[in-house]
Amino acid sequence: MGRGVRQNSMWEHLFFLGPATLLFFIIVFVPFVTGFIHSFSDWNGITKELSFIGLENYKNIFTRQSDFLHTFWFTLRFAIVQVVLVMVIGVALAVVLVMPLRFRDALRASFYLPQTIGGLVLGFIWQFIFINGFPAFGTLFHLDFMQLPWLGTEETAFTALIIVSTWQNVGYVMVIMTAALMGISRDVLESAEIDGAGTFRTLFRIKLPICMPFITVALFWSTANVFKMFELNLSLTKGGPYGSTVSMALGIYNDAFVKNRYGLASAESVIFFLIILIITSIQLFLSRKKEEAYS
Amino acid sequence: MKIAKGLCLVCFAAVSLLPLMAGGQADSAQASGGKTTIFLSQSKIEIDQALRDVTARYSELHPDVEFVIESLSDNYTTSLRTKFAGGEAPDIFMILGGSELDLWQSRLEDLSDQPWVSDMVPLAKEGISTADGMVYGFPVSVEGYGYVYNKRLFAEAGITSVPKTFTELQRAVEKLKQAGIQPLAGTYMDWYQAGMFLVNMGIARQPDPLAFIQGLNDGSETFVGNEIFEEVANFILYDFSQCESPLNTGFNQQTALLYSESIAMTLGGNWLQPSIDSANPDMQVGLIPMPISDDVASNDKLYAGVTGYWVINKESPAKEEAKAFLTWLATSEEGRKAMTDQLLFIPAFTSFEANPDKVGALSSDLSRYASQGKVYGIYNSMYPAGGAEYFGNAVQKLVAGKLDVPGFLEELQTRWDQLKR
Repeated sequence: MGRGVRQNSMWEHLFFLGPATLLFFIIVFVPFVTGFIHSFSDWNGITKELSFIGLENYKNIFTRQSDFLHTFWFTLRFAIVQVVLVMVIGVALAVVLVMPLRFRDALRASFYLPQTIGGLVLGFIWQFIFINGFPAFGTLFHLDFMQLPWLGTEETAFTALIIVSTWQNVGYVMVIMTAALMGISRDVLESAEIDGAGTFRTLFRIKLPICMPFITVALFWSTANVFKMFELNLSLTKGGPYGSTVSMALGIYNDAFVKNRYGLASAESVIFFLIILIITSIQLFLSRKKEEAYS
Repeated sequence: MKIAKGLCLVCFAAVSLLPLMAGGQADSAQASGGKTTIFLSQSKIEIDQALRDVTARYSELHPDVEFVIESLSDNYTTSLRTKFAGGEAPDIFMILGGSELDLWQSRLEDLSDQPWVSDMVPLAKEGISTADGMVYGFPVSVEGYGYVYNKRLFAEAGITSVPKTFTELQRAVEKLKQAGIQPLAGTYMDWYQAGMFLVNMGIARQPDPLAFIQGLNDGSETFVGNEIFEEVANFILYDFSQCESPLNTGFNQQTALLYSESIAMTLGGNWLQPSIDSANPDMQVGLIPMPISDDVASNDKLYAGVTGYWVINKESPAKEEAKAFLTWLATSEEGRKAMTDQLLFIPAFTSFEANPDKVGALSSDLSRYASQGKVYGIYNSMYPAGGAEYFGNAVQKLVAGKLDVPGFLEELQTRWDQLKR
């Protein structure tokens, strides 16, 4: 009997996990391995022969022969600001939108909508808004800050990217947190009310701690996501002005396809992978600890 | 354990099948119905329709050859690379020459023995020849740039002759401003035109540009302290100062301003002609020099060069047919007519000329300047790979006030040294 069950479950496993595993193997694992191999070569992406140059590419990255460290510093600053904003606004929206408001569903849909549009399209739409919309609005209402060259200076281009990318991602966090908040048992909230806890006290001492596992997921997702920012960056600022807003992913793309340094770009991708791995692990470890403290 | 083994087997089977599938597809594309298919991929999106017409006509004359045409403008080289990596390489494709030739040479068919090679103008040959004199490409068209200006607005401001010196340019700008016309627009938001065309001005104006580039590569020349580059930098600062919010202007805004006749001048080339013809066919435009100093002889010049070559994939099964097609274009009466009257090229061949009635105002200005020898070259294909972007960034830093002129030249030098191989 035991044998029969095992046989069955093997076919089940193969049936349900096989296709996904196969796809993962072909489109993630194989390219990852070839990329890793290329990272030790000086391949330019075109010729058939490639010669191996050992750790030269990795050495170049850390001796500032490439802009990788610069893009890392930009991405890190960007990630911190963006993740904080996305989490705070996303949670706030979720909290507000679980209340019995009149247009609740419509509001939820409209906040989630940007998440469903691709980053490239968003970038082009917002490029138009920053270049033509803002100045027109600014002239009409005499608002100086709207007439700035929004995509033309370092600080405003950074802010512009933050605005659009926060707007794009806040909906996802909102959905996760709405699910979490709606899942809280009525009993707990009622007993809190009977004990005399106010709205804010209930929120910070009861609701959010209960939702900690969901916050972990949302935080993990936003962190990994912001580090991989690419399309929005490409379409909104193209990394400009003067390369000040090049994210890590865009920088790697440029090295591979604009500067023909495929080997160097592969080495950068490997380091990129390690950086995301380390940062998300630390963050997962910390929020898991928080979860345990609350449970 | 068994599961793992099974999975591995399936995966390996799938992976080993993949190249077979790709190969199968490519083969069937080449030999459908006994015909040879030439896959032509190129980056001049504005000639897409005309090229389809021309190749269709060629297929009428040669029924055993048919064409697949693909025109892409954005990220053309990226898409080309992925096609080569994926086993879907085109038979004819387009490269820039110069340092792109070094990059692609191992993939290219040697075209030195083709009948049209001896007719190529020297400038066109330079860009696509190796040191040992082998020629690898077919020059598509001569292109050139300067200021594209609006003749109606110039007349409205009372400007009777086009500026040929820097002082005359300043005077014209003042007149335009007095008439309430925005004189200039520049795309300083993007690195593209700055890196490609503004920085090229400094290189093209050197007494011997090729020797200057060679010198930069072997370290005997430098941007730092180069007087011509200092003049160009000051010209860039002047151009920037006469634009309205130039840091917020990209290519789309620039062309929109030009086509809506809101600006009198902007950097542009004869490649704008097809889009002018469709956006505002009544607009009267012309191409004039961008003078950086007061010497007429050295400033009444446009910048011109061959900005693209058609090349043939060495491993293409259709390479003989592809060669025959290029030969037809450059040597037969009908092929030449197709190039000048349908594709509206300015041929980079000595054997035939552009048709001034067809090519439009910008191209006829350009070919007039070229025939009088009043052109500088375009050398951005000789930058080290990725150079244009860095040089464009340096121009952005200059105009944003992050760098002064000496700092700008040092930045160019640092980046050139960093990128050269």
